[in-house]
Amino acid sequence: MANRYWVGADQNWHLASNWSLVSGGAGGAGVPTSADDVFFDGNGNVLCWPVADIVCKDMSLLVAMTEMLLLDASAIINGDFLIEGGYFGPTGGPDHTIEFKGNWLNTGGTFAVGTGTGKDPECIFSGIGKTYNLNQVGAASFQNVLVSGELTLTGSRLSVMEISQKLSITGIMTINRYNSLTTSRVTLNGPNAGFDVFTGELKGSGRFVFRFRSTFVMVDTGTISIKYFRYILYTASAVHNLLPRQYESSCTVEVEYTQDAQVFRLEAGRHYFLGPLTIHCDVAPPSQETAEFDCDTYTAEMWIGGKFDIYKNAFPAHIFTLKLGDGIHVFRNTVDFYFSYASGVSTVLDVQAGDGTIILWPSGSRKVITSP
Amino acid sequence: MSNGFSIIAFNVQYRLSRPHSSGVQVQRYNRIILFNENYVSINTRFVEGFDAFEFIVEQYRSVSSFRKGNLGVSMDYDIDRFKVIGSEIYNPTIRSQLSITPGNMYLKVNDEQDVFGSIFRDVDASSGLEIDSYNSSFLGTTININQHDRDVRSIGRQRNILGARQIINSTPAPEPMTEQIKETF
Repeated sequence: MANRYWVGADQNWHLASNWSLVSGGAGGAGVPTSADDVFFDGNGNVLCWPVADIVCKDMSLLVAMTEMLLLDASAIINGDFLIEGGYFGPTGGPDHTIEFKGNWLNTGGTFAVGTGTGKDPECIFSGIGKTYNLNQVGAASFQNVLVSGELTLTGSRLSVMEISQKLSITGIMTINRYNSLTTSRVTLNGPNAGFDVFTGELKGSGRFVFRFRSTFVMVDTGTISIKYFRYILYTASAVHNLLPRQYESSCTVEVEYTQDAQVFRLEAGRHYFLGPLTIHCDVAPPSQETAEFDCDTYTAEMWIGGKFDIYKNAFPAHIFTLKLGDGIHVFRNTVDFYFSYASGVSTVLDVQAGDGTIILWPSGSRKVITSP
Repeated sequence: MSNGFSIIAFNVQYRLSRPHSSGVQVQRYNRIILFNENYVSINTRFVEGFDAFEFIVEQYRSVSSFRKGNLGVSMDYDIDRFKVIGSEIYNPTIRSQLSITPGNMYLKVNDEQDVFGSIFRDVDASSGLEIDSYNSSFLGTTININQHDRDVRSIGRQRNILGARQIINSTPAPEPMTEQIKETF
């Protein structure tokens, strides 16, 4: 095991003379192996552009880094990854993978996975019990992500990971809040974004945000137990269909309307929201808009373990229609269909109950009677 | 008489409509079932009026409070078919919400009523039919609810009329239904 400092005279990673044993030292130390720690600190060619696969142990892109590491190949980083400065940009393809086996820490610089041909680079987090921290104002942008190990994400930036394409979870992906003020989130957002293979668990005290387009399909596999799972409805004047699945009791499912005439439609089957279900809106329209939550079209049924809350001040000028349809809905906790009328009579909550049944079956603090 | 043990009980609150002074928006539902399992008691509270074709209370000694009307707001609970399936031992209580302001809960029953084994407290049914209730007891200012004493026993969770001391009409005892619905989930 040795240190390898980038002192390249050109952009070739695979050239022994481009690496030094010490910072700014003489080249010739040899190409990094899986046992070598790699450092970039501003003493080499401004561009390092591997076009064949690379390996290393730790990779440290130090605060003094002025180079750009453009990776048009696959990589295995067997140790920890640190970026304090410079630029790290996997690109090209198809089917490049960048495997992070250790901890991942970003305190500066730019981390941006680019695109190419075919399947764009996939970042794989395979380590067990590893951490991912984004502690700077800049984003960390990913294309495809696979969490096959056990990874805990947090950071001082609100959105610690932004994924543009597919997320696969075959291990455990934990997103934890940073502190009492910052609920860290992972954002899945892009024209082709979505879950791919989801057989693991999504958990933690943070938030997962899925900017949900009208053409998207949400998988019914895997375990979602994270504190907040938010669907942000993306497409204006469109129906967003949701397949039935289960969200664990620790998970608050949030549905956020963002534009006029959006419909959130539950498809046929039973939707198990074992925690709270909260309806949000994040716009203050200049004129009255509509929003609809539809269980009627496909006779969808809901089991809601927590509070069912149409957030009272979130729809300042809306006609919000709740269609319960002809199915059976079970509410295990508080139901709050309440709109604030401070903004005027243009705010309307219209509950269309259909021909179904509502079972109010309270849980929580209880008195158990054991005998007459 | 032992009552087992108890934990601090909070009300679980339901707001199914939003009547307000600038225009009443009372939502109408097809069927609402307020349910507790056997031997479990959880208090609930309705803070706004609502309409329902059918409202079924199937509980085991829980207290269900209904918010009373106040100035400018109509707070009727307008129900076509009203059914209470209580226990002959531990009756559920249906009452107006506790308040320092005197007032009643306006329970308006339009069509059918099957009320067994319950306690009414400060309930005003004057805006609807008079309610006939069996094996029940009344407290407070409850009016227009007629109490009838029948020998209704539970075998399993089924109510069976074994005899009648005061037969008012031949209304059969209601059977619990929520357990059957639950089995579908």
